[in-house]
Amino acid sequence: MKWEGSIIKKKSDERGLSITKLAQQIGVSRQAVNDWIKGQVPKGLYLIALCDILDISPDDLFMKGEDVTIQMPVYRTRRKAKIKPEHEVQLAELANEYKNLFRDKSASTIHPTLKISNRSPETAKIIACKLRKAVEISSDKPMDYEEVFRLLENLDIHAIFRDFPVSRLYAFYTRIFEHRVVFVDLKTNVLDLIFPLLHESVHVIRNDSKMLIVDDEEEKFCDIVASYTQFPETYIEQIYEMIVDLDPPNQINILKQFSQTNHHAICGIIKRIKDNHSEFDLSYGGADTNLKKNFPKIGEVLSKTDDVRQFLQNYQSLSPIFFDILLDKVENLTQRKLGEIFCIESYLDMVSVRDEMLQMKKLRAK
Amino acid sequence: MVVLCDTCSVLMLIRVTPEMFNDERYESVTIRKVYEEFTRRQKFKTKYPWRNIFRSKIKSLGATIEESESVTRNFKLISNLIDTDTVINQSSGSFFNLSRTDRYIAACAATYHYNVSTVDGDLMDFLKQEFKTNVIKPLGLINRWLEKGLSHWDDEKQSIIEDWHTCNEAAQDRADIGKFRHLTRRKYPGP
Repeated sequence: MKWEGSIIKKKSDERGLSITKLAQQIGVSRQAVNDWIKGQVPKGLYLIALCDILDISPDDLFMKGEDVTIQMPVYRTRRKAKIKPEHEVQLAELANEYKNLFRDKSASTIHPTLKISNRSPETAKIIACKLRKAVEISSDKPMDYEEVFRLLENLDIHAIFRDFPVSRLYAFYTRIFEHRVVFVDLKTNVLDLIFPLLHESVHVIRNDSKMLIVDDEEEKFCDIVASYTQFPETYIEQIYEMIVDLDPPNQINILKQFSQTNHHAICGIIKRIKDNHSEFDLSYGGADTNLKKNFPKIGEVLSKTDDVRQFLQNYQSLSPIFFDILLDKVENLTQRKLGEIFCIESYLDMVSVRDEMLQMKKLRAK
Repeated sequence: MVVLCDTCSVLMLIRVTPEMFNDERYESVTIRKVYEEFTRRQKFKTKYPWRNIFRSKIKSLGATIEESESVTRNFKLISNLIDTDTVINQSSGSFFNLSRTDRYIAACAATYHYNVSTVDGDLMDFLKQEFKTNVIKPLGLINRWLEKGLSHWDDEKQSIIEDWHTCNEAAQDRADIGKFRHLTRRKYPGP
C-alpha cells in the first residue's frame, strides 16, 4: 500500500478548491497540506477530513501495490485439512499478528539440491530420501514428530504454535516477509501432525521463490513426498511381510504394535501398503482413534508442567529458529503480547515468562 | 462522554458492573466484534471461566451504527494507513500491530467521536497519535462511575479487582489508582 498524495491536488483542482482553502477547512496550515501532496502521510483524523471534503474513497488516497508481506497459499483440497476461501482471511489475520517479528530479519533460501522441478514419482522418492538424510534418520525407521520439527529447523522453517480459529486444519504454511512459516494448531495430536507438517514442508520447498497457486496435482505430489519421507519402503515391506498371511484382527494388532512403538497413525501405513500391493485390503475401524489416546496433543507436549523454564525449553527445542527471533525481540514484547504469541496467558505467569526469556537471552550472548 | 470498550476492557469490567451496556447512565458501548471475541475466543475459555454467565449482558451498538457507510470507509482508511508501513508508534518506535477488531474499534471511535476504554498499548497509542482520541483504562471508568454515584463499592467488587492480578491484566495508571483509593477508602488490590 503506497500513499498517493498527488490525488489531493488533483481533486482540489477539480472542485475549484485552493490548497489554502482546503487547509482552512481541515484546520491545518497550508504547508501541512503541501507536505501531504509531496508524500508525507497525514494523521488519521486528517485523512478522514480529506475523504469528507474532497469526497474521495480510501482507495483513492492509497495505491495498491503487490502485497508481498504475507502470502497465503491458495490451495487445499485435501479431504479433512481444507482451507476454504473464508478461512483464508482468518488465517491471514492470524499470520498478520506475527508480521512485526519478522520485519527486519533476513530469510535464507532453500538449499538448491532440495528444489524440485518436476512431479514424477521418481522425483518424489529422491526428495523424500534427501529430506530424511537431512535429519539423519536410519533407512528403516519412520519419522516421529520430533524429527519432523528437526526437519523444519533444517529447512529454516519457523514453527509457530497457535489455537486455530478453523477446526481440523492441523497446520498451514505461509510466507511472512520471505520467511517460511508453518503454523501448527495446538489442539493437534502429535500422530495427526507428522504427515501434515511433512506435506507443508514439501510446499515450502516447491514454493521457495514465489507463492504458487496449488492445484490438485500439486497436492497429490506433496502427499506422495510426505508419505515417502515419513515411511521408508523397507519399513512398509517389513510390516507387509509380517501381516499379509494373518487374519484381519491379528493384522490390526500387529499394526497397532508398530504404530505405538514408532509413533505414527495406522491409516498412513495401510494406505502405503495398498499403494504397493493393490490386492491388500483392511478395514481398521476405530483403531487409530484408540491409538491416539496414548499420545499427547502438541499443546500438551509444550506445557507438560506449569514450570515456566520447562515450557520455554520445550518451545525452543521444537521451534528453535522462531524462538531465537523471540529472544532477539523480547525487550520490545509486552507480557500481553508474549502471552498471545505463546497462547499461554491462562496458565503461566507472563512476568516470569518474560524474565526467564531475558535471562536466556543473556546466557545466549555469553 | 460515550466510551467505546474493547475486548480486554469488557473482560475486566463486565463482572464489576454487569449493567454497564444496558443502563445508559454508564455511557458505555461496544461492538459486535468484541462480543464475538468475548464469547468465541478459545483462550478466554480457561482464562475467564465465568464468561458465559455474562455474555447476555454485552449489548453491541447494532449493525446500523457499526456497519454504516462512514465506519466502513474509515475502517478501510485505517487499514490502508497501517498497511503503508510508514506509520510508526512514536512511543515504542515499532510499527503498529492492530488486529481487525482493533481497527474496527478505531474506526467506530473516529467516526462517532467516542472515547475508548482499552489496556492494549498499541491500540491506545494509535488512537492518541492518529486521532487524538481520549483513552480511559478500566480503572479510570470505574472511578468515573463511582464519582457519578452509579456504583457502590463492596467486598465482592474488591475481590474482582484482585482477580485482575491473577489474570495478568495490564497495569492501571497511577493517577487512577490514587483516585480509586480516595473514592473507595480501600487499598487498590489490582495490577
